[in-house]
Amino acid sequence: MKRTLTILGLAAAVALPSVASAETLRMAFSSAPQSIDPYPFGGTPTASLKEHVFEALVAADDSPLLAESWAWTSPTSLEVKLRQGITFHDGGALTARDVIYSACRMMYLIDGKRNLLTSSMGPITDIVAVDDHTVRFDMNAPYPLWVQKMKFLSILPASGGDVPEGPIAYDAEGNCGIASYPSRADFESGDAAIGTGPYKLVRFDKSGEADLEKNPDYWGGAPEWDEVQIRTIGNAGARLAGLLAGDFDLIENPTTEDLPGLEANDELTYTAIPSWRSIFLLLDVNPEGAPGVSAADGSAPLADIRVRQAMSMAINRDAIAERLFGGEATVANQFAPSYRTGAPELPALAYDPEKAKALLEEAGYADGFTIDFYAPSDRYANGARVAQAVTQYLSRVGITVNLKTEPWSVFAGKRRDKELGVFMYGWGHPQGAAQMISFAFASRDNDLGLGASNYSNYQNDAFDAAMKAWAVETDDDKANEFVGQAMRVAVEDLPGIPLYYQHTIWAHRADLVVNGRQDERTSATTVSRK
Amino acid sequence: MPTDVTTVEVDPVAAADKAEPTFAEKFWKVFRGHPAALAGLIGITVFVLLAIFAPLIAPQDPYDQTQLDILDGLLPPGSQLWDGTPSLLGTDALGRDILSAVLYGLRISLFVALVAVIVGSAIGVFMGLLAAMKGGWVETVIMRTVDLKMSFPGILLALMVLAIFGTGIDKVIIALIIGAWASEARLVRAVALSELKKEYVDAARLAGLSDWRIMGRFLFPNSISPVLVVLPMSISGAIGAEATLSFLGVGVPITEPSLGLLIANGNDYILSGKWWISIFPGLVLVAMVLCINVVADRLRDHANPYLRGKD
Repeated sequence: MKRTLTILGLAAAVALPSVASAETLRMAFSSAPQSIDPYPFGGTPTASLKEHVFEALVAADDSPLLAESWAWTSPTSLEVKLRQGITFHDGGALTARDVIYSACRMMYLIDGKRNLLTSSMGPITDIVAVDDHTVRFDMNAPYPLWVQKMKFLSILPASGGDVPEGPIAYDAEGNCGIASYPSRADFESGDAAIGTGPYKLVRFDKSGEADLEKNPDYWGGAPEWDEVQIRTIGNAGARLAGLLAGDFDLIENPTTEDLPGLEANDELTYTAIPSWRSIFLLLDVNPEGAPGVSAADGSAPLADIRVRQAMSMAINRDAIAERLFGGEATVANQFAPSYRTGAPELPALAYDPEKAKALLEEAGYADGFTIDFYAPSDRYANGARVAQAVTQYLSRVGITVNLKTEPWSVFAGKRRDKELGVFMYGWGHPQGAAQMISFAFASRDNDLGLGASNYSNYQNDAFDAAMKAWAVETDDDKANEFVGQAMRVAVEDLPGIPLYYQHTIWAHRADLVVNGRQDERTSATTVSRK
Repeated sequence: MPTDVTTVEVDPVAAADKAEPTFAEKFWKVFRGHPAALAGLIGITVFVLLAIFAPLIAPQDPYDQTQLDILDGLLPPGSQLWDGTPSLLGTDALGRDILSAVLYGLRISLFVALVAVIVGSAIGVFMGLLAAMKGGWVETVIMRTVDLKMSFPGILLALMVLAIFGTGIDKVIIALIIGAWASEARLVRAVALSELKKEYVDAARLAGLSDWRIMGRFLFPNSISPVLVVLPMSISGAIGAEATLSFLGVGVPITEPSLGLLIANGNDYILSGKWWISIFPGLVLVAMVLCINVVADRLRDHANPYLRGKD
């Protein structure tokens, strides 16, 4: 009898997830935020945490955040108007001085460690407080991307540092006449973790734990939750078990295999949002040949456009999205997500294995050729399985594929050393539709920030012309026009093969609504009660 | 029941009359009256035959990517593949027929374990004999290396080796060899040391034979039997170790799964009701290791003079 009661009690505990307090949201991340110091660390988990506390001038979706509006007064000068009446967690008002202070901190290297925008702020020559709520950024050359880059500039109160009275004079070393900035430890202890965001930091722990409390004076209206608890559980099974046991209200990244079970559970559900991450194959199109790619006649098969088209046509993207992701992936037709602002309208990429074989024959590879195909085993959702499916499809049109799945740490090193002729990669960046192609396919141009990771050795004049024009175009519509031109050339030439766009999935209590973000970040601001 | 064994051995007349028993007779004597061991032996034979003839039996070549289709993924047992091939045990996420994958996986698992144990034991035997024969600093170096190796958990050592050399079937074999030789070396040295004290060795020395010759002609055949007795146990251990490494994702390539990797593939689906991906390779692995262990137990009991004749 006693045992029956225990079992009933356990069943009840599982069936009715208990809530610690009605207004606390308990979230489990899949990997740990590195710090609450908003300057040196990139990465989605760190950004997810920091955006609860700190805000930037521009939001991830390109809308104004702490800025009210901005305008290019000349091609090299951007004027940003700040919102009125915003206060920091310590009660101080947000002014232009705080923006300049934050930019100085971004350029200041603590222990020589580079910050998120250290290399992106090169063109900025001066930052001027026009009045209390207007900031002007002056540049040495047209730099329209700065609007996008401002998403990474978290705004701190100037009162947090050892700053002399009066205006701050910006300089590129970040000295700015400032005696000292708060250290990483100051942020992590909470002393310096003062922003304008909807939540205040109560506690941060390096294991990936953070406790937050509501900022009742938030300019955007009172936040939904009184308290937010963030925990990190790397193992997907353990994370799901925590949700099932009622330890969490929301977890990141349940596996595709767990989705049917979540659907069948009345107490739980999941929300999937198409994200900005596109997954593709990258091909080294060097006419001199590519590492790990060999043909019987010693030629360079990947340099032939017909071969690249054949590879693209060999892959059944619909089957991958449907079978390996249970529909929670969007088939790609270009290198940026097709639903992203600025991405051009393009037709679907064809799946036609017969035509693929014919193209290979036409190109002189009727007997196929051999590739070493590399894929990271631990980086992308279902990554190893997708790599095997791609291997199946390429094998079926006659290409001999040696699939090598390796841990990210090994894979990334080989990629950096240019040892990979064909590899699978994912690119998700908050900065516009052209970001990936401008890095991966453009000829290298350090001044314009183009081609820094052109592992394809791709070179096309029409593409380069469009990218160069885009890099200096301050008019959004015209810039998108150039993105469209470049994207069309790239999709025609296929220096890589687009596969699909990842969806970000959150599993959560059925009585919550998750208005998930496309940049894969998990935020309490996107979660509300029904 | 097995009292007749004793009778045969203590009857001096019969023993004298009989010629030296043939290998088959000796073999039969070990297993007669031990149905479990006999069943194990039959099981091993079946598994080995299945592994050898896998390409003829399996409905699909699971390593030939052109025969797989992800549209066949996750079919339950008893379904049909795209080309009409029946899939008796279902398919995994990539459309691999589980029956075929198990047969081929068995091949890899057995091959890796056999090669690793045979090569590892050969190295171990040689090292053990050398240590016993030479003594001095040679023995010290070898035996301290053995101690050092034995102080590492085996799987950890194999993981380290694979982290350094990378993955692949050849690397797994190397990792298992590195794990296998030390216990054999220690065993053989102990036996060889006691053999060295016997008169036939003195005689050989007096006859002027070199150390190497004594080692090869006399010490080796007289010290090898304990190794032969533990060999099956080493093989089942190696099968388990390979499965563990592959399960952890550092073993065989993912396009050529062994039993351990098949179990790992299915592990992701076990909570979503796709039980067949893990269960069948798991059952085969358990059955094979069980068969080998039963036979190994019998061999060990038979080799032990205190137990011989009692059972």
